[in-house]
Amino acid sequence: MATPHNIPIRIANLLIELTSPLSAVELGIEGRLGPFRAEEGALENPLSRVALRWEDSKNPPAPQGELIYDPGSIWKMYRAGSDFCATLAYENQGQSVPVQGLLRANRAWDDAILTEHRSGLGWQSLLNLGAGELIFRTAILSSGGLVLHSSGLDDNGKGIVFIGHSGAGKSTQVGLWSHEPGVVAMNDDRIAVRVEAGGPVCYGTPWGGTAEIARNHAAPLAALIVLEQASENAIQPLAPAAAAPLLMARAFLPYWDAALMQRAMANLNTILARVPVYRLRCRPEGAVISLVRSIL
Amino acid sequence: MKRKADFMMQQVGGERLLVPLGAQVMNLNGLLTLNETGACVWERLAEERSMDDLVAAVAERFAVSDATARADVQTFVGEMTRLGLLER
Repeated sequence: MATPHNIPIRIANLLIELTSPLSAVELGIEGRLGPFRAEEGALENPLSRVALRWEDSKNPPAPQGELIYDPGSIWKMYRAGSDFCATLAYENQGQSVPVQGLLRANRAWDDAILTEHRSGLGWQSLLNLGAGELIFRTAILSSGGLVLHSSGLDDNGKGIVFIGHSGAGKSTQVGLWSHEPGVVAMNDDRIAVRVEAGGPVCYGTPWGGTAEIARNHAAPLAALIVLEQASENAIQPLAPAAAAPLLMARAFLPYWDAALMQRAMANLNTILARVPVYRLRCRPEGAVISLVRSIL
Repeated sequence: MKRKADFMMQQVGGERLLVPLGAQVMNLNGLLTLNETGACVWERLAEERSMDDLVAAVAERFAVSDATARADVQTFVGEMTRLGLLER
């Protein structure tokens, strides 16, 4: 039996200890996850860890257990005893396809196995896509984190996160700001946030949106900004009670399990208590930058 | 009557929200916020309760008349029924 490859990946201070009979190049994950590979010297003191084993399957893997959540996207969640089991399948030009990957995780989501059916040339592991993201967004809950449908940037040491559904202007904001001196665009679709010992922090993740901005970069979190397109520019603070439902609707939450959901709500409460939230109504123009900076 | 099991009441940002779980997420548009009366009734409905049980609980908890409590409970239960949150 060949020695497995150890491929540690560190995203938002969550260490995913991936072991696989295939190398990162063979898995096809170098492009997306390469910037988040943990160096030998960077394996110390993560805020949490996930042991993840990758396995090859000769046939499309079959789901196990009872279907508990079907969000109508690329994955479905099953409960198999005390474990969770997610099937993943991407449509091919509108045609549904057999299950391409099966992700089994324990109750705490710190121990998981991804089984995939390798197929054809140009195959890439689902770690690049839904499987990687599902593991990350769920495992980060145990260390106080939350993944928001948002873009994020570091404005000269101040992390700003723009939260919105698709089409709200997340990518537009990153595009407007990225020309400013000292601004680092972190991600245009998925930002992780967490209140840590030193204060609130926001992190880029490997999963960007249409602009494919996905930088391994962290910044102290200064503000969460809920975006709305409007004909005039205006920014107003939101009280936690008003912000809570808006953030919940734009966070990636584990709706399939009550215990995980309670954890996510506790994290959201901590974040709301420590991070100012604003509603920004704006036109897609540079004047927004001085408006946002005026409140930070 | 009794509440469905696949909702949980959570305090988020100082608000009491009814959070759907599993299949209920797809059936519900948006999140529901409960006031104090609603929260009191929701908690009681973890077990099978009659309308009279709920009215007595609300009247005692908020020191209001039975008539006032009944009106509030009927409004709340009617809303919960409309949204499909109760097992009948």
